[in-house]
Amino acid sequence: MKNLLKYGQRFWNDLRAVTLVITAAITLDQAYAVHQFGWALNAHFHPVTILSYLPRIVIETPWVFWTSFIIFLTAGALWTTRMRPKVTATATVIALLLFECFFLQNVAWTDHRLGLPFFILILLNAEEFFLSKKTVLTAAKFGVVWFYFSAGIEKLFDGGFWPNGTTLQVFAHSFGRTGSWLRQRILENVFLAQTLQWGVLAIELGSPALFHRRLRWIWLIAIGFLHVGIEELMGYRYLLHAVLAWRIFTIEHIHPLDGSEPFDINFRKLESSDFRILYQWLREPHVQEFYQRTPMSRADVAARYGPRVRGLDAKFQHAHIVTVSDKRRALIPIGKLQCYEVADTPVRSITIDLFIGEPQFLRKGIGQRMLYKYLTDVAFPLFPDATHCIISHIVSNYAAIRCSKSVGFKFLRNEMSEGHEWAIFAVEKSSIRLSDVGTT
Amino acid sequence: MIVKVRRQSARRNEVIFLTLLTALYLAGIFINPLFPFTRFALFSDSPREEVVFFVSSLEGVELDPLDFGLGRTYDGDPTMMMGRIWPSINTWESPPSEAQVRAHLERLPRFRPDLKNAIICIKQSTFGTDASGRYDVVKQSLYLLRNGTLDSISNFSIERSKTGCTFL
Repeated sequence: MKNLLKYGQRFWNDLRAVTLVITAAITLDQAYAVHQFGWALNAHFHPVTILSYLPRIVIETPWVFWTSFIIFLTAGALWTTRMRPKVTATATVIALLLFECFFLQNVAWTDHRLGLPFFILILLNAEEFFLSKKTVLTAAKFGVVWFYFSAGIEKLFDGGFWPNGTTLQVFAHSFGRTGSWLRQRILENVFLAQTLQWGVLAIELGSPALFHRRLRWIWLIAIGFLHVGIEELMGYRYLLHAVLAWRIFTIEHIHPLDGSEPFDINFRKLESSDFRILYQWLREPHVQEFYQRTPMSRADVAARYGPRVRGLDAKFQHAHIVTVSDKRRALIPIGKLQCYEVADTPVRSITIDLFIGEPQFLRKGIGQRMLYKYLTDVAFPLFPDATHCIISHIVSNYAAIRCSKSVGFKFLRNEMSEGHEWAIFAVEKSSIRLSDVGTT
Repeated sequence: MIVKVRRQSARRNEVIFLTLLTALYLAGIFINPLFPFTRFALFSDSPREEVVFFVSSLEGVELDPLDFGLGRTYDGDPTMMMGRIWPSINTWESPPSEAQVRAHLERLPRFRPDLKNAIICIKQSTFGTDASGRYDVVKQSLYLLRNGTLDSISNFSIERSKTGCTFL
């Protein structure tokens, strides 16, 4: 049970996996509808997709549709395993585009359930190339709000007075499930229909409240009710949209992404499964600026850190991942540290390299707590004979310098190396302290 | 300096990508929506009534209204998300009036030569909110298409039943 919960949490934390599963569920539903009802080839053709202008023989060829469906499912599954992520991500998005375009172009009913999941998959695909995680999440949030807000705006301005009661009765009568409890109530009472319509309008137009930290919960619950209502009334399987909205707007509360709440700092050995996140961190602009100035590919990361993980790198045997957690949360990796002994110093000394990879955890005071705890709990215990620790920062890395000073490091000298001026600091084991000098 | 250039390049890629995506979505709203660049309208139109046709043969066999251009076609928002539209006068946005139905049925045999030797009964039910707030049939009309021409229903005794028309 515990493992199941842990797996569930890992799945929930992975936006790519959640979106892919939701998308796959909708495509399966659409594929089943095609299998059941066939295509409406004798109805008027109306261009509704960016592939509408392909030769009709291509659009209407069933095996192209079914092949793209199989490619989408296969590539999507491989993408979740991180196998050749750029290739599998691109194949997934292209196959899905083909599938959905051919579907929409050949059926005689409307279906725009894939709009939002497809948008998020485009973002996740771009993340494999250049988009940062933070940008993906921000854009996905705007996508969700846009989805609901634009629906509300159109109801206001598109075709007359929308919350009139009768309109919902028409929808309920026309598209509602025969056995629906809500359908029956709506058909019997126009005032209930009108009230529900005002409610829908308020939820949709008020969807920017999702950006508000406290109001967000009210809106997430309201959206939940809205989708449950749609499901009960129409069986439209729109519930998956609510799941996506919930995932995107609650992850910050489940994941301590903003670092606003107290949490514990822990360390564990670097593992090969960390290479993916390490690769992402090394692409973050703040890491590139002060830590990894030459770009690294995924293969470079594996080549550099692989021997350290396997214990084959004599110098860098002690590389660690720093994780944060609190009472409710799992361990979330946020940065990397390593320590090793320095040979050419008058006293036995060690040195430390570190960075916080997750931008959301910067400027929260985590750096000094992390450095302090690493020195006292990990680095010096690993090298019990060492009496000093040396650390160096590029002179313009003011945040890191403040952080080191707050732990007790004293300035020694400046040095030129790799085209940059470095400030060298040192601290004696007995002088390590934790003071509130600054945050990083 | 190299670092700065690289950092700007990463940011620039992000800005270009997101600007392009936004531009395509705006084009989808204001110019022509083409999946995946479409608006998410979600039943935003406001129909006040609904027309349902029931078509039956002389023998009382139910026929598909779509075959007579009377099937209900959802042409509401998002209009551009439907790739195939059945030809019909019974659209979502503007349900047909009695006069429109008559005109349509008079034209129909020109495109359906098989109707010239058939007797077809068509029942048009208009649904809406009645005075008590219930959603129900507020108007009903009957048409008879006999041998390709619209005939008066007074020539027949028509029983309103589940099977539509019973000819005596």
